[in-house]
Amino acid sequence: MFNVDYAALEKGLELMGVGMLGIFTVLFILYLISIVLIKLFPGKERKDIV
Amino acid sequence: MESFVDGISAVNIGQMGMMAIGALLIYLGIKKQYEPTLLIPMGIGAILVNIPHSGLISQEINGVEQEGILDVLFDFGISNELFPLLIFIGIGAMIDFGPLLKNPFMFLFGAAAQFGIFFTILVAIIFGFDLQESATIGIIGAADGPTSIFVSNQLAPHLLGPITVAAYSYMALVPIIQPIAIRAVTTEKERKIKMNYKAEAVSKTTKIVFPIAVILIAGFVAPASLPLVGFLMFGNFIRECGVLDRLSSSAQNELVNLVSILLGLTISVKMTADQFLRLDTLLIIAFGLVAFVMDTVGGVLFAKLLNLFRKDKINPMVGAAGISAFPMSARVIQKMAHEEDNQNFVLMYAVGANVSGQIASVVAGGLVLNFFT
Repeated sequence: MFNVDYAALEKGLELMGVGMLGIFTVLFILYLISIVLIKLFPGKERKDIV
Repeated sequence: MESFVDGISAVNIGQMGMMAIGALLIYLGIKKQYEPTLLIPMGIGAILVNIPHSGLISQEINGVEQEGILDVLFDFGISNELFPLLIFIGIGAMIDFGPLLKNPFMFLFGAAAQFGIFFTILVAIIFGFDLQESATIGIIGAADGPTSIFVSNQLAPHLLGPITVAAYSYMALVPIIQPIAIRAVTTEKERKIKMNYKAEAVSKTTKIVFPIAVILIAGFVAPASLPLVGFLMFGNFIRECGVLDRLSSSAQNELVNLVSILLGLTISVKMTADQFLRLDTLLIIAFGLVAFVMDTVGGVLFAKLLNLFRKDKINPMVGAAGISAFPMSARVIQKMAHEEDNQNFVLMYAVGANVSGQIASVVAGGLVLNFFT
């Protein structure tokens, strides 16, 4: 039914791997930086909301 | 009277179809209030560019090639990505990263909810689009209009029209698409999970340093994302620095409003009948839906995966808020949580994931561009 270009599909899978890994890497580093920033420059604590 | 008859007789069926599509966009913008700031100018533009011999787009009139004003605007603002980037300054100035910085864990959901981009790229390849076209189609899943325009213009400018229409239309349809996708992959028990919220203020210093940190990290990992990330974070910096309130206000209001007018009208250059009315357009619009659904599913399943290892469970619906459609997605998630249990408040977590999605989507756009450079 589909005339699939397997070379393009392979590249697409590579893009998926590189892309998702890259996004998680950037966001994970930002996650760590945020934790450090919050520790270094803490704001005022308020109360727990349950 | 003769010129009126000549004008009418010069319109072909395709152009009339495009005028009807323009009218539909206007209807959706006004009646349904689906992204009216973009859909209404695009709708009017679609009508304008499909009237023969109008001179609005470059065309041959009386045997002479004339440059249309909309083409001039296109070259001025979209070919070089100026308009989408200017909009990013305004968006950055509108975003408060506070809810994200209070719950940094939400960063990861922004990443997970970009899954639809890459899934859709594979689907588009299977349906016969080449790799660059597929990457451009996948970027609809960034749920971020300016990023879609930016990437599309670099990788497949001939697809700019349908991709922009799909991106903005589905962003407007988030309240319809996301609940269906979320219910398909969650149980009622999961949707009722409550999350304790510790209300902490984020210091001003943290908010000032954060945009600079984002610029540096994104710039080193995915340099091609820097135009997008840099302008977004510049906008956020002028918001948070505390001494540029006038500029911040201008960016949030005048700048975004002016550029939106020009952007919507100018994109219509790519909405002429010969460029738009093709089977590819229908496929692109269908793939856009796939991208949004798979973004949502990716975010939810990631939350469910984390729940296998966590003592304090996450409401998996929060994962779906990791798409960039801000603040609509966060509102949808809170509404759904409230419908399941009227004592369930996940809004701040959902907003955190949602603003994380803003960063993740521009990084995703940059990484896709990086792949081709």
